[in-house]
Amino acid sequence: MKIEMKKILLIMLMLMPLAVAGQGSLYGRYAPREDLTVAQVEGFRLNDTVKVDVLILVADDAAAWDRLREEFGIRTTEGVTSWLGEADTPSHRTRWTGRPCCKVIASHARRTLCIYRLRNHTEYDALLDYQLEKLRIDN
Amino acid sequence: MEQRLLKEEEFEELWQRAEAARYGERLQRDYTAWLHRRRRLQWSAVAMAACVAAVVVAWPAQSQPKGYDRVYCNRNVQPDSHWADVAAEMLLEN
Repeated sequence: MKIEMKKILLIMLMLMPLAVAGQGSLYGRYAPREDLTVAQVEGFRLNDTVKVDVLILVADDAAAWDRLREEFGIRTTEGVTSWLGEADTPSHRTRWTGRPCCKVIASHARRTLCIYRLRNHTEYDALLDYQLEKLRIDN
Repeated sequence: MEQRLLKEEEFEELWQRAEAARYGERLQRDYTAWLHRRRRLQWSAVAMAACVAAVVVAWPAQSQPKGYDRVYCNRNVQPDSHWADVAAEMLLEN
């Protein structure tokens, strides 16, 4: 009987990590920071079929924002900056090659940096379409 | 060879042995059936636990409001929808 109970517990323990696996290593990297509010939005909907994960870093104050700017190599001090970054190291600029990467958008006014994780060209195209569609509506 | 008739005591002994063997056989059969039943119940419990765990993991994805599946935050200062709004607004600022 003890062996059968162990089997049940083993299977449950194997399935439990699925519940937390989605948090991602980037979230784990920044969440402990005391000078940042870190939020991970999973399944952010770009259209009816495409969802992406977004990591949002908000600096608590100007000093924290300066540190974040330095970490991500942001040279500008105003406006909005964006680039394509490597999937595991968003601060490293890259080009679209069809491999997983991320779109990074930094807003100085908001002291906010958003990292949209893109796994394939479908998600990349959906993100561009999302921006174009919203611009079209606004105009 | 002439068959020898059993004595009453010998017959009684043989009869008791036969009874014991029958009971033993029946006990073994019943015990084996019980073992199989118990094993089936235990594996059913394991399968049910696995199904429940799978549903618990998948369910939140179905019950979230539109726009996003779930939000994790290191501080509880804003509602989840706030972060989805930030993600949307930042795309438009770009």
